[in-house]
Amino acid sequence: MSGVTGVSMLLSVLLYLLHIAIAPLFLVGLVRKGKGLLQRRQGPSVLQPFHDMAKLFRKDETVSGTTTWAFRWAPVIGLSTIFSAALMAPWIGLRSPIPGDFLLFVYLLALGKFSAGIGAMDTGSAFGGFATSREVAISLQTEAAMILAFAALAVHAHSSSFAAMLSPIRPSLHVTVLALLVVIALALAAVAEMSRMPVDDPTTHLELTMVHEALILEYSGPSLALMEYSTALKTLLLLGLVGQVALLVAPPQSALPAYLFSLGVILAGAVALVIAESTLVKLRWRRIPNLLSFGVTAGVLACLLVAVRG
Amino acid sequence: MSQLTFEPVAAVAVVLGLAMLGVTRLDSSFWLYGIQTVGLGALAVWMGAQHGELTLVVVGSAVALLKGVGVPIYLARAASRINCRRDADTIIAPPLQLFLSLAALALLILVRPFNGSLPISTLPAIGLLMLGMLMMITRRLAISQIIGFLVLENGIFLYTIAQPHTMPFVVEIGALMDVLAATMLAGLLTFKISRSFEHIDVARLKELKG
Amino acid sequence: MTHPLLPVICAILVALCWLAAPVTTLIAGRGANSPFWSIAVGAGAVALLCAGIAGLAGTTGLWNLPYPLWLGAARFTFRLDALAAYFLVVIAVVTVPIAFYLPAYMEHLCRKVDMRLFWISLSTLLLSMSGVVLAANVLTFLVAWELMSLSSFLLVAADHQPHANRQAALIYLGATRLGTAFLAGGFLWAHALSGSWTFQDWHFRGAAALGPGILLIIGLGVKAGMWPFDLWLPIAHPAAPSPVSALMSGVMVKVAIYMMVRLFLLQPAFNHPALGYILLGLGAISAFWGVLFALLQHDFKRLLAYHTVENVGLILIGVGGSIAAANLGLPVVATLALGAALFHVLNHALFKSLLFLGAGAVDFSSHTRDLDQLGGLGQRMPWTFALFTLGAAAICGLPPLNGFASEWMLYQGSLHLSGSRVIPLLRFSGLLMAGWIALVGALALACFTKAVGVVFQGRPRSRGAEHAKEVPGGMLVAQGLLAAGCILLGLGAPYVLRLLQSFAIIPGAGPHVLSSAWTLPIGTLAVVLALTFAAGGLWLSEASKRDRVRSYITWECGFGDLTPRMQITATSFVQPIARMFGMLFRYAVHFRIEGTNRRLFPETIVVEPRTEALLETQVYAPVVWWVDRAGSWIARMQAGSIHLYLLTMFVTLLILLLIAGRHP
Repeated sequence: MSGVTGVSMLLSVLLYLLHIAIAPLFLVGLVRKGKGLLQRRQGPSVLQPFHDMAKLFRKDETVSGTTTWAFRWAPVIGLSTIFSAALMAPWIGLRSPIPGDFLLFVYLLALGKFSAGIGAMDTGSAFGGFATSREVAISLQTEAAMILAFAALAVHAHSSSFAAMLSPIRPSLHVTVLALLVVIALALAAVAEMSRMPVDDPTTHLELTMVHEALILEYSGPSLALMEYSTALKTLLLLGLVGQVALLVAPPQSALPAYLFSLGVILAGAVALVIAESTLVKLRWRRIPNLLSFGVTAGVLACLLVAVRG
Repeated sequence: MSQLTFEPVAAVAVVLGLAMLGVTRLDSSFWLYGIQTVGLGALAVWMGAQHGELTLVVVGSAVALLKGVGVPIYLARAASRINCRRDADTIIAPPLQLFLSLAALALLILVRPFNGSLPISTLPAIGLLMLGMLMMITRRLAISQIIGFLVLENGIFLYTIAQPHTMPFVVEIGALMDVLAATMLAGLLTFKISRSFEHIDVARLKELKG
Repeated sequence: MTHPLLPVICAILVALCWLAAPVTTLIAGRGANSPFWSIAVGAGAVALLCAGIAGLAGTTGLWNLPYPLWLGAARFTFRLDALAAYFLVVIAVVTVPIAFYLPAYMEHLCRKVDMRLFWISLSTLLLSMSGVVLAANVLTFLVAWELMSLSSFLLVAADHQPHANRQAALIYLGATRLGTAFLAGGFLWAHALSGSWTFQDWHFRGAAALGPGILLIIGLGVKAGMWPFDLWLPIAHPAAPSPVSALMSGVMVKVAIYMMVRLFLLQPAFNHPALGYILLGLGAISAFWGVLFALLQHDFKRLLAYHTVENVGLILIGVGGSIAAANLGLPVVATLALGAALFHVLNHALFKSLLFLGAGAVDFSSHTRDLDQLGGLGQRMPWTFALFTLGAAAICGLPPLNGFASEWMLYQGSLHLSGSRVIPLLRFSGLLMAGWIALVGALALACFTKAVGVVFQGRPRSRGAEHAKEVPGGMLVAQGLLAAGCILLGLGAPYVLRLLQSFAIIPGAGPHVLSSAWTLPIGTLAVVLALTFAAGGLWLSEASKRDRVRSYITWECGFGDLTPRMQITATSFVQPIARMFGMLFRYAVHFRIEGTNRRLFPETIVVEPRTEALLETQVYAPVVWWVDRAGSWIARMQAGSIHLYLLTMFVTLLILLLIAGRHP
């Protein structure tokens, strides 16, 4: 019996790692393809990000002479934190190999942000400096929104661990509203964290408007590949988490439907990204706090609901 | 059963009111106001049908049609006529408006200052009143003031349907007509202000003081 | 359980070591600087550490000094228990690295500072802080407290050549007088109610606890840098030499927090829920206020000093929340909050001293603390850079370092409050507090990204920064020890919690509340991070070995090389955030254009963002003005005639005798 569970544990961990390795780039490819189709063009192949990645890994790297170890290590630290966060958060209906809680998750993301910011400031270029300044300014509200929303769920579940927070509960109107508010808060925070429209434009080439792209401007070759991959993994992770919360409204009964459902939710999230990126324009920098404040508001409302109804 | 419908609709109305405080595009405000009012009208119709009260049904459908559809269209046209799309220069930044009203709402719900004197079912109505008032205080544009006034009026409407048998038919219809007339008048006045001063910033009306 | 005499022996050793330094400096002369005194300070700290460990291991005791050393109304009485021992450890773990730091650092100060006075003040400060922690009655406490205030005042004034330092010292002196006045008022009130000077005899409940309690909160809050009494802290702490700033920010403010825990929380002398709510509210404001103003600073050490206000705020959230929860009948929540607060006390002592020592190293090498004059020090001082960055990550609460562990506990406390059966308002407050701490954490992250980026990265903005060199080994060892402490406490958080729950338990909570609340897989996280870091490091070294990395200039859009002035400055870095919270401190950007034809050919354009804290300009400035007026009115008494003074003294004596004589 224990042998069987051991094998299944091993299998699920392998499946998990497989998802971490492949799914992020696939998702990026899907979004790009979808955007192409929506704009009446062919769009790049879904596998294009894999080719890009391979190409970048074959290239040499150019590093500015003003930099220190911080610049070289930032991609490694960034990937390592997002990888750890991925190991600790349940997504795509799979149980996480390491039990983690939401505070650790949010603070791991913050560690990634810190290292990326230090890396960008290291070059002495104005792009890196302004990108970092904007990134941390945005993260004020995203972190507050994420913590508030997750805290509401955690208090509802009487535990701050993801496993307890996202385990299926008996559906009711109360749970539906709570999940809805949490999804709104997380989705708005996620849009900013993923550097997507309308907070940031991932395809822009006008440096003055960029946030995330300016942050990684100085990177090339394999380091750039690591950075891109970290962003892709983060995107998948956040979409997956939002999806898991959304599934609280109608929890599937067994493992396979749960897995398929969450895949579907992630795909829906990708479609939403495609539509948003094709129809919305990037917000002016001064208006971004207005948008994100809705996320914080949704988080506070979720807390209010939990406080009143418990 | 009636409670199960009333509460979510009232809650959604309050959340829409909150959202109106957070947006600065006038179009979005009109949309949000329209949805809120149609929702409240529909709630009145539904409750009237449940309790068998014709008054509520008639008033509800009139509110949904005239105020929920008519007023936003009228205001949108008025705004486009004076080429005004956004109420960006608010006295308090929109995020802060949002958080302030959120704090006020939370206090209303958690502390219950009117506990005892008012029934619980009127809480959302009080909340809407408060949001409308906040909107009128924190905004500069005359059009936003009208929206704030309309939200406040929606609060009064929600208050009346939260407590059935409070107002006779004539009063309700009269109030509705008053609001419509006030809106028309305010829209017209806004147009006039804009023509005379080339702005509709009510904060600057202080300049008129002799 | 260790031998009961061990603490006494340690105390004698501590006293010998810390008195040896000043006595011998008196012989050595004004400009003296030799490693001997640092060794004495360090040895004393090690002895203190032993005493602390003995106390934590369970040794307690009560000692009275023998007859000639007494205070009239009471004797010098000292008490050692686990809580006091914990704070002795906090003092010691900061002092030991500082002993390594001092010899090299004082090298560049000994021409400006009277070294005799410096060593005497430093030893007195260390002794008196330990004395405050061990004091068992009011008079012992007040004597130690005053010695602590005065010696730290002398240290702030140590380098009194610059006008700013003299002013800082005076402001600090004023603040300590104010604090002591409130403390004395509170203690006298409590004495009038109970007739006892001993802390242990006080058990005030209900309304009787409120009046003296509030006075004591103000008195201790002034020392701790609690909002709204935080005004002096960011002025005074940076003015002292950096190791002393580290001691003041890392340890001295904790002594005030120790008294709060002692008086209001563990076997409380004053127990009233309102005290808890006051501390909680002021703590929440301090946390936000401190970090917000830290963001706006240009002065490296003042930035760090404002972060002390922030962290004191976080600690007070824990202390205040614990008092409130204990009074609500929620011992588990109260224990979690108290555990978080005490844990954060130790953590903050470590990383704040690390950061101050780092700032001192920067000051030492580049001779400036102005953020807009620094830059590019990462290449010139790689070790200081690495250690400072680690400290920055720790103070931002990033995992797996110690700041995260204690902030996590604080979050757990607030979440547990929200999950318990209390009125909705309190449950909501708990949840909101979590969001508030998250906001404070995000602001701290912004601030330290700025600090690290502007000071250590990019290119040097001044000649001083350009010619900076790595500091001597002793200073690096000091920072290394503290950094190691940050890592160890982060990974060993469960052990610290187990230690804390041996004494910091609110009655009613189980004996294992703290260690069972710790559910984080921090060990696994450390392994994952270590493995991925190792893989990344291997990959990086492989890449550079295979010559696949080319060194070139930073991308300059093809316009020729960048200059240091094109980098982002500390001011522009925080502009987005300053605008967001602009209404709290009247943020405004002022333009000044000069020249004969200003419109077409401006000669100079000055763009200057100004911030003015409303509290300072609207509240404190009028008060200071009135005090000044009153002072100049009273100064009229200074007539210059000695006979008039004698008459005044005689009249005063007469009045006092009349008042005293009315009592039977």
